[in-house]
Amino acid sequence: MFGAVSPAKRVTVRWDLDKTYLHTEFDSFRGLARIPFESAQDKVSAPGVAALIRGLRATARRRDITLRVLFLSASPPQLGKVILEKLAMDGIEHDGITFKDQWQRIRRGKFRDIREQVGYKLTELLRDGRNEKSGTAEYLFGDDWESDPLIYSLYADVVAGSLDRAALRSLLTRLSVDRELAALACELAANIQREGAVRRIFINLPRRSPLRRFRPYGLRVVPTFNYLQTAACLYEDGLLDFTAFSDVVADLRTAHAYGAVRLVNSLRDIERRGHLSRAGASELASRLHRSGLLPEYAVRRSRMRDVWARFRAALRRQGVLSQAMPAQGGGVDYKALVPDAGEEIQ
Amino acid sequence: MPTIAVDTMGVNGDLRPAVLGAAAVSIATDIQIVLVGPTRDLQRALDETSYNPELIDVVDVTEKPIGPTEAPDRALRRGSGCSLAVAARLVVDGVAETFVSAGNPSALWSLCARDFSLRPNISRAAVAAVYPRQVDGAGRDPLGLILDVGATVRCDARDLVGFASLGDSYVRCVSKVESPRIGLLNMATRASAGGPELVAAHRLLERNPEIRFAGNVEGHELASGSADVVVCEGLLGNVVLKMLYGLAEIAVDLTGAAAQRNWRWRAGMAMLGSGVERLTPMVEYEAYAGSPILGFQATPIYCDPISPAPALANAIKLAAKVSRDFGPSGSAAV
Repeated sequence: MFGAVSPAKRVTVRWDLDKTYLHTEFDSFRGLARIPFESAQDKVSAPGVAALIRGLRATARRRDITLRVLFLSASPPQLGKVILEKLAMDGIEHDGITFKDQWQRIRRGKFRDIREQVGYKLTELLRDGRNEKSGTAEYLFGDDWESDPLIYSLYADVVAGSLDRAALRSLLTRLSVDRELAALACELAANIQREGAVRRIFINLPRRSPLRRFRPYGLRVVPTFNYLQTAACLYEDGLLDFTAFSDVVADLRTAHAYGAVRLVNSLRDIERRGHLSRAGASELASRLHRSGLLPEYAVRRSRMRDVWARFRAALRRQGVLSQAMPAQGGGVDYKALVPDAGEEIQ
Repeated sequence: MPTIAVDTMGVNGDLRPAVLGAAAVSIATDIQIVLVGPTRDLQRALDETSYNPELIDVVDVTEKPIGPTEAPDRALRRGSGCSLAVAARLVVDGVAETFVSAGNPSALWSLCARDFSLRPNISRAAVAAVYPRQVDGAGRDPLGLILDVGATVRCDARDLVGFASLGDSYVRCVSKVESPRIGLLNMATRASAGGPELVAAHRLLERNPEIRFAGNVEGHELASGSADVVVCEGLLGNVVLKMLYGLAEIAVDLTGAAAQRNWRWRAGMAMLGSGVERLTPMVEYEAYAGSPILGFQATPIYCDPISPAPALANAIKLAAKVSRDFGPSGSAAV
């Protein structure tokens, strides 16, 4: 598994807000027009996400992990009050939220930057990332609505030192990022290197984008269809303990009417895609059953479906069962993502 | 919602249509689906499209599928671990309510006969199919049901009465026809027409108070819709069904070809455009999903091996509907 590594003692989780934490309706004009008039009570968070972040905090306390929870939003600061109220309502303790100052962009005549995401988010990530201490593990959370997989991968590779400033400049130019922002990003990219800092990039899939879209990003990017899948990976990485994981499950079951079979299928899906080990998936299903969160039939159905496969695999491989699909390689294929990228890109 | 097992490998191992069909169903409905096939290939196919993983599970099968020309008994001995056999086994084990397959039809039939028990008072199971028909008035189902269309080549009177009972309860439960008219396919309408088995079947059906018997139905009356369910032996049913589909295709082709020849005909076709478009789905295989195999406790759905993804998606939806509405007790006693 890409992220199956020893848990770090210092962890930063960086969250996008709209479509990742909040179920924001900006795909229709009506939904977009309603946003400024919404109260905190009107805002709807994605199923399980609040329980997951609370679980990260609780686990960090129990395991003596220094955790920072940061939000990076493309919403204007004028919406900050409502968003802060919503986070408080959900019981989220955070260490900072960055909003996009659209008014400043309008004043400077940078109208194209209002919708621009790559330059804005990358520079903000790099600005904060520079202050991270060595040995800090970072987990990034975005969605399939805009460019989060690309932005986060660029950040991860810059921090890992696998994307130098020339390559970054070339990519940002090809991505039509504002020249000032591109220059700032390259400047911030200097001396930021911390090997293996970004462990996983979770991409929530409210649009249910086909998974092939994420192949060029490698296994570091984990597309997830619900927050149970995200929680399972974080459990395997040691960032969630079982109590916190079962809180996410309980939230999905009680507040969002997730059935037992749906939960088991979700675990098996993330396992099939190679982001969770078979042992991890089986352990979680059995522990959930033992703690009364999954009925026997759901686990039994899951076990029965495995019988044929396990029997033949055992014969075929003389007792050695494959764990998951082979890793697709850690490196991001920027040439596939940005076809006109220059020769600087490896 | 019911759980439907899907044999993804069919006869040639091309699992894309089944996977794409299942993925589309997972996005649009709440039906639980178990895909049976090679996990790695299934996941690759799923990666190509939008799907809802909460509704899709996979059972790994790597054994070669039963080919289109393989003798069913030998193939079943060889292929107890093939996707078709595993899909049926999932139903027997209670994991799925029923299954959908575009596999070898003879092997499918043999498997059902081997693994599933018959419903009470049913001597033989039958493959049912729908066909387009004329209807007199709004609210009536534009599709008629015909059975058997190939499972039992020769039938006796008792089998035909059993088919009538199955068709009656299927149409009541699934098509929601309150009091379906049951016809016996024959060469003439008089009760003494046909061989001794047809005469005996006519007599039994006429005396059966639970069935609204419409008498013998001649070939030309199929399309006129005088019966909601038409029963016949498998050989005859198969020939009739394929002829109906063939004629429908010819009609569509001829209309299209005629329009190419003459600008006045073309103009006429343009004016009839929306009407022709409304008729087209009536003769398209995809719309009819698959053929339910009636008579067993579970009701598997058989699809043609060349079924495209939309046909398989419809078959999965039909399987779910049949499982929900036409459960093991859905058959009226004969």
